[in-house]
Amino acid sequence: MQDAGADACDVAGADGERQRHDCEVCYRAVFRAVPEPVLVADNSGLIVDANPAAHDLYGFGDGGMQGVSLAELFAWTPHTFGGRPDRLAAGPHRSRDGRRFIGEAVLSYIERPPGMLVILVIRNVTETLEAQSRLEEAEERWRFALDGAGDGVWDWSLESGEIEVSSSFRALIGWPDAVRLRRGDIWPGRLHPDDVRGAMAAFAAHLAGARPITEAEFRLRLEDASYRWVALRGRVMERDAAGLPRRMIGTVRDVHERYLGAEREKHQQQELERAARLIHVGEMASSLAHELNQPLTALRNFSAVALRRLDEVGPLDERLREPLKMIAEQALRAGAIVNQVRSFACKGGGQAGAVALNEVVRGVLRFMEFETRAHAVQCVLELDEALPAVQADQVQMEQVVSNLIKNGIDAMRSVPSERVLRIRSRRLPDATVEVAVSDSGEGLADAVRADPFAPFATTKPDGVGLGLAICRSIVENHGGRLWVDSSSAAGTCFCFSLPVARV
Amino acid sequence: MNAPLVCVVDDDDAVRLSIGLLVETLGFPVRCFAGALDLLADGEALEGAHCLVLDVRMPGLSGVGLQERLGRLGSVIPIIFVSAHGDVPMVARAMREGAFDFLQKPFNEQVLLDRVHEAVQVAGRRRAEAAWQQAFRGRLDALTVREREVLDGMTAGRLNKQIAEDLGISMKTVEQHRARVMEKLQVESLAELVAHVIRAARTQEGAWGG
Repeated sequence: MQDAGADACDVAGADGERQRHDCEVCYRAVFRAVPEPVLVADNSGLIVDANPAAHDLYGFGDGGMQGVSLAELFAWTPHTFGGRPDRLAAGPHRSRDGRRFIGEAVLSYIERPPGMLVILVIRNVTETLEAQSRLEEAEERWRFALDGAGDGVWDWSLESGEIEVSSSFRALIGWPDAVRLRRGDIWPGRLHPDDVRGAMAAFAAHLAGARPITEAEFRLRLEDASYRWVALRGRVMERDAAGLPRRMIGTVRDVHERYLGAEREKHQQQELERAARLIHVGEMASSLAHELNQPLTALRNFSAVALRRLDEVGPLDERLREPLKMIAEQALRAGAIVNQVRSFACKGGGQAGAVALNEVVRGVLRFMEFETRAHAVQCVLELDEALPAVQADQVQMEQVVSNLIKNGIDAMRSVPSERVLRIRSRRLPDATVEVAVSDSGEGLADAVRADPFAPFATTKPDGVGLGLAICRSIVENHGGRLWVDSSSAAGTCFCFSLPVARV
Repeated sequence: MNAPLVCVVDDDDAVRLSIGLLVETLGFPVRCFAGALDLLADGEALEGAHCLVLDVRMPGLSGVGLQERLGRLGSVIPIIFVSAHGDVPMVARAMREGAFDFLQKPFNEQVLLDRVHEAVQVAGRRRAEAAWQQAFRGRLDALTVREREVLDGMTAGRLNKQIAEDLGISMKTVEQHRARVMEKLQVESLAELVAHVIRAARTQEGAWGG
C-alpha cells in the first residue's frame, strides 16, 4: 500500500522518513477523497488497493476488494496489461451484486520489481453512451425519414470542410458512394453559374445569423453535365464556444419537374393571356371603332352640309367658314385615329406592302441555318423564280414561314434516317401564290391530326400550341388560306396561299 | 325622265340624315331608308333610283345582302357602300359583286358627292341605253319577215342587186323594202342603221360600264 506512493516520496534519511510519512498521509487522503473509482492491481490482476468510490461502484460496501481479481469485474486477461495501454476501451463491467454497467479505464503503471503495480481510474460511461446512442439513433431516424421522403440529406462540418451526403443525394447527382466530398465540391462547385450568387448569399445570411434558416433554389450540375433544379434547406446545428457555426445539416429536394412545370404553366398562362388580351382588345377596338365612326360620319357630313348651305345663302363670312371647316377636318382626324387603333389591335400593327415570299423563305432559312445544321436537316428549295409578290406584312410573313419550318424540323427530330425539309413556291391559276413546307417526319400525331390549327393543340413537351393557330390567323387576315396537304405518303406538308399583290 | 333619285340606307339615324342632306346639296331628290327591306318594299323608289348609298352592316338584311337581291332582280342601279368596318373580305366581296365604290366612314364628303354624281350619270346612261334598246327592239319587231331579210342583207354589206338575187325578188322590190326598213327604224343613212344594229347587239355588254 505504502509502496503505491513510493515514487512520489522517495526521500532519504530521518527527515526523509518523516516526509515519506506526510506524503503517505497526503496520498491516502487524496486516494479516499477523489470521486473517481481508483483500483490498484498487480500484474497478475489481483487488486491490492481500492478507494471508497471503487468499493461503491463495484458493490463492495466499505471494504473487501483486496485480493479480488480484476477478471471478476470486467473482461480482464493476463494479456490486458501487455503493451501497457494507457486506457481500456468502454466495455461491460459488473459489480458484486450482479449490476452491469459500461466502464472505461485510464491506466498508469508503477514499477515494482519483479513485477509492477497498475493504477486504474475507472469511469462509468453507461449514461454518456446511452445518451450518445440515443442521439445517434435519433439522427439516424430523421436522416432515414428525410431520405425516404426523397430528400437528400447533407451534414457539413464547417471546421474540416467535409460534407457527408445521404445516398439519395449521391444518387441524385450520380456520385459513387466511395467518393469523399468537401463543401466546395457541391456549392459553389456544382451550382449553375447564374444561381451561385443567390445560393451563396442564402448561406451567408444564415451563417451570419441574419436568417433562421438557409433556403435556396438553384440548378445543380449532375455527373452527366445536365442541370436539375433543387431546393436546399439547412440550418446550423452546432456552434462553438464563441458562437461560430461548427456543423450545419440540411436537405436537398429535387424540384426539377415542379419547377419546369411551373415555368411551363407560367409561360402558357402568359401566352394565353396575351392571346386573350389581343382578341379582347381587337374585338373591343372593332366595335368601338364602329360606334365612334358613325357619329363622326354624321358630324363630318352635317358640318359639310352647313358649309354648303351658307355658301348658297351668299358670300360666307370667314369667321363662320373657318370653324366649320375645322369641325369637318377634326371629325375625319378622329376617324383616322380610331381606324389606326383598330387595325393595330386587330393585326398587331402590321404594315402591308409588296412582299416577295421567296425572299422571305431564303431569309428565314439563313436565320435558322444553325438549327437546320444542328438537326442535320437537308433543305431543298423548289422556288418559282417568277413568283409574283403578295400584299402582306413582311414581319408577319416571316413569322408564318419560320413557324412552319420550325415545325418541320421538330417533326423530324426522332427520324434517324434522311431529314429533308422541302419548301416549294408556285403561282396558282386563281391569282394566288402558294408556299408549301413539307418534312420527312412521322406525320401528324393523332392528338392534333383532327385540327392541327386549333389553339393549344400541341404534342411538343414545351409547346404552347398557339404557333399554327397564330399562323392561320395571320394568313387569313391577309385574305389567304393555310391548310395541311395530306396527299403525300410520308411526313407532313403545310401549305398557305395568298392573293397576288395588285400592281 | 324624272330627276335622278338617290336612295340612302343606313340604320344610324344621324348618319342617314346627314348623308341625305349632303346628297341634296347636289340638287338630287333623296329618299332615306332605315333598313334594306324598307327599300326593297318600295317599288317606286327602286324604279326611280339612280344611285344607292348603302351601309354594309345593318340589322336584318345587310347592304351586301341587298346588293345580291337587286342583282338577282336584274337591277343596274350603281351602289356606293359606306362602312364603319373596313373589313378587307367584305370590301372584296362587295366590289366583286359590282359595287360602284366602297367608302370607309367617316369619309371626306366631297369624295362621296363626286362618286354619287358620277353614279347618277352612269345610271342615267344605263337607263337611256336601256330605254333606247327597248325602243329599238320594238322597231325591229315591227319589221315584216321580208323586211328583216332585206335588213340582214344590208348589214352584211351586200348590194341591192345581190340581195334581190339572194331573195329571188326584183331590185325595185328590194328598194321599196329598204325604204320601209329605214323609215321603221328611224334612221337616215345606211351608216346610221349599221351603227344602231351593232349597238343593239351589245345589249348586255357594258351594262356596268362607268
